[in-house]
Amino acid sequence: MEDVKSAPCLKYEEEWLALSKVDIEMTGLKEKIMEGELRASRFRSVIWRLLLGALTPGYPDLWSEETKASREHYKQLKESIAVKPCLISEPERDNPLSTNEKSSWHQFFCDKELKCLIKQDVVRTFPGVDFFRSEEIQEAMISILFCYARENPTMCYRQGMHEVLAPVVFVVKSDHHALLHTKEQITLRSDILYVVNPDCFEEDSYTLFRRIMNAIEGSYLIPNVAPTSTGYFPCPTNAGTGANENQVIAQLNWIKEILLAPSDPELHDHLVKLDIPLPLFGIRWLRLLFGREFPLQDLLVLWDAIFADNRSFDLVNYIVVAMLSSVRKTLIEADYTNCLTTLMRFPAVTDISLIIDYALHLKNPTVYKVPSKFKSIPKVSNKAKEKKTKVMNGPTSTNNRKFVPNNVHRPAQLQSPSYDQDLHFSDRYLLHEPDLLLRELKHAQNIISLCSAKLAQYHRVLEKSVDPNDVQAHSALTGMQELSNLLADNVRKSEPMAVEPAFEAQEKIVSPTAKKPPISPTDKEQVKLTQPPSRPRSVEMTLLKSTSMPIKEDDLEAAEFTLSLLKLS
Amino acid sequence: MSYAYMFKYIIIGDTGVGKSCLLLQFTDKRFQPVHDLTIGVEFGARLVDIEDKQIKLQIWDTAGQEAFRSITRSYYRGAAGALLVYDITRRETFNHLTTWLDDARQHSSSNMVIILIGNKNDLVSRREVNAEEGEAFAREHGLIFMETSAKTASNVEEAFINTAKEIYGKIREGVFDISNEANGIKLGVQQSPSANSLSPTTKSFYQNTGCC
Repeated sequence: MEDVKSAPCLKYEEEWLALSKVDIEMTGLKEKIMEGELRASRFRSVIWRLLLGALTPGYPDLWSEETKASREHYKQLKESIAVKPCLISEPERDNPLSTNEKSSWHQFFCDKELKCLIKQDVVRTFPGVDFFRSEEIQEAMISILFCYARENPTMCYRQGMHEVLAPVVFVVKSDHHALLHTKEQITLRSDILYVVNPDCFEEDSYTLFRRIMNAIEGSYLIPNVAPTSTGYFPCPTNAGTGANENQVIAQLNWIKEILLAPSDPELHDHLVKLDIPLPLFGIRWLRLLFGREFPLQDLLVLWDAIFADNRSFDLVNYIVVAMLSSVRKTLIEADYTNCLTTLMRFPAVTDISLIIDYALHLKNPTVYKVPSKFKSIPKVSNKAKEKKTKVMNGPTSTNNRKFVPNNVHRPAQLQSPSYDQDLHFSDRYLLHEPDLLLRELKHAQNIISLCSAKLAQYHRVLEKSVDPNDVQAHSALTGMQELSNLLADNVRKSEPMAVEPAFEAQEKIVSPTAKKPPISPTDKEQVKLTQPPSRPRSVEMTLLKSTSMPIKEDDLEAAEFTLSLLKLS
Repeated sequence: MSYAYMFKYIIIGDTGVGKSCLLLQFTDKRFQPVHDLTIGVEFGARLVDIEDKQIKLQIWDTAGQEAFRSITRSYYRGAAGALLVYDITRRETFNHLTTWLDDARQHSSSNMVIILIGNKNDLVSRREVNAEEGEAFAREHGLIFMETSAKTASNVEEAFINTAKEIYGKIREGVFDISNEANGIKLGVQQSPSANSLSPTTKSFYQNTGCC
């Protein structure tokens, strides 16, 4: 009997050891995650902390320190925002009847109001799951949401956040249960006991919640909020519809036009024909990270994949498309009411991994194949491809530009694989499609200018380090310089070019606040370089965030230069 | 399903007054004591008979939180009927009615029929708002008024149907311009059950026959 008991306990520690051995890229672990292998993990909350950047993978020695720091952060935050007016030394100036907004009593009442607002929703979390009926859990959730609202005043508390928090507290608590259970039978290593400490339920849940919210805050942003002591709420004067200013709506429209239209044109057109815009159902999908669309255990597997893919949660956008495609047959045969009903009460999915695999495929078709069991694969016609080319290469509408949503971080990822396809496509239709030809030419020119800029950059780097007596190296350098100039001339003679976001992203182009470019431009160029960038800063920042490689100063310079060059007309 | 008209409704009011429960009771005839919070919008549809005519009610249930009202507002437009709901056990939900009403009136067609609903009247012991107060408010603002209970189903059917009757009456009086879909009314196709009301055939059908 002893042996039977200890086997799972040994496995428990083994799982921990395996986790502490993952490398900094978490390659092996991520592969397992994408295959849905965390279902039985007893350390899912720790893995989430690794994936979301709260712990450094590959450096288990740091984990205790990192955990300590994030717990301290929460404790201090909670302490600092706890207003206790009964401790006030000057009751004659600061009392419950005070109308002064800076009065601690006033703050006390406002805090109470916000907590009531939060509680009202928290008690309704996942009505069907008993776990969330526990008062202990509800109290912890209220504290966490309140602290988040105070730490992020403009985000404040918004309906839906409680359901983002819910799976988090569930996972943290499950890991605590597993630990407590194992601890009854064997003496556990001290590092496990520290990192997975059941006494730090609230603290560790907060760490995860805050990081998830960081990635999806775009879904909760609302325009024109004004501060009050209770929190930031929409200005009452803002009577306009404001719907167009909403980031989540922009993100959904982006998904529809840039992802859905090319991958499933028939479904896209069907939804347009029925006048069913994505926000009708998609706001909830995004705001709750699909929390209502799948049962909790499947949802956790889906979240594993989202977190493992990357920290900006791009996969979310592709999951939306994968979900739509998974029910495309039903949707296409349905009228307005049935279509909407299907989307608002998403039918039970037999295997969540099909959605994940198809989303991964959509995001990165060269790496991930279409899952063989995924039945409803839409056929992409040439017409659709043409549409795609237009969207990608043509001037982006102001709407898209203004709102490349926060979560949509990787135009490069999206566009680079399909770029090749489009080249083939245009090869075949080149002669009949002058528009396409023009676009292809522009593409080619972008490539040329990029090469030119890169060559110039390499030249500068090498020039500094090459031995002045090395004749061969110097002739190679001269060759590079000439080649760069030749390419640059080629570009300048030709037409003005649009900035291709894919190139920008791949080349880690970041700051539009152009410093002086490394190679001194002519006067004429100087004027143009000082013009404001055509893309809003947020977009550039978005691109910066999306690159997983650290960006060096040199790269930045070169990138800026490339950007300026690309903008030259 | 064939129907003579389709009316679009919206349900508005503070969080937790029972909007989604009213809809669930009306469309599914059941009650859920703790209902999922509405994020964005929910949707329900049901056919009802008004004066021997089949009418399809397409009902949009909205989120109560003020923060997302900018999104909710886009659904006001094009609604023929609105259910403005408060909770008789929470006075503050009654106090907020004016804000909701102003907002609805400002962003919808002037002919929109609004019914004021005091929900949860099964919880009499916890009542904070008298029926008389609700009636007075409704009279003052020209609304229909009813107290309901989504839990016991009391008056739920009536609330939705009375609103439809009022709208139908306005159509017959010619108050509603049913050629303008922004008024939340669409003409159905009675002969062709499979066609949906948005198809071009429907529109041309209407144009050819004029108002019925």
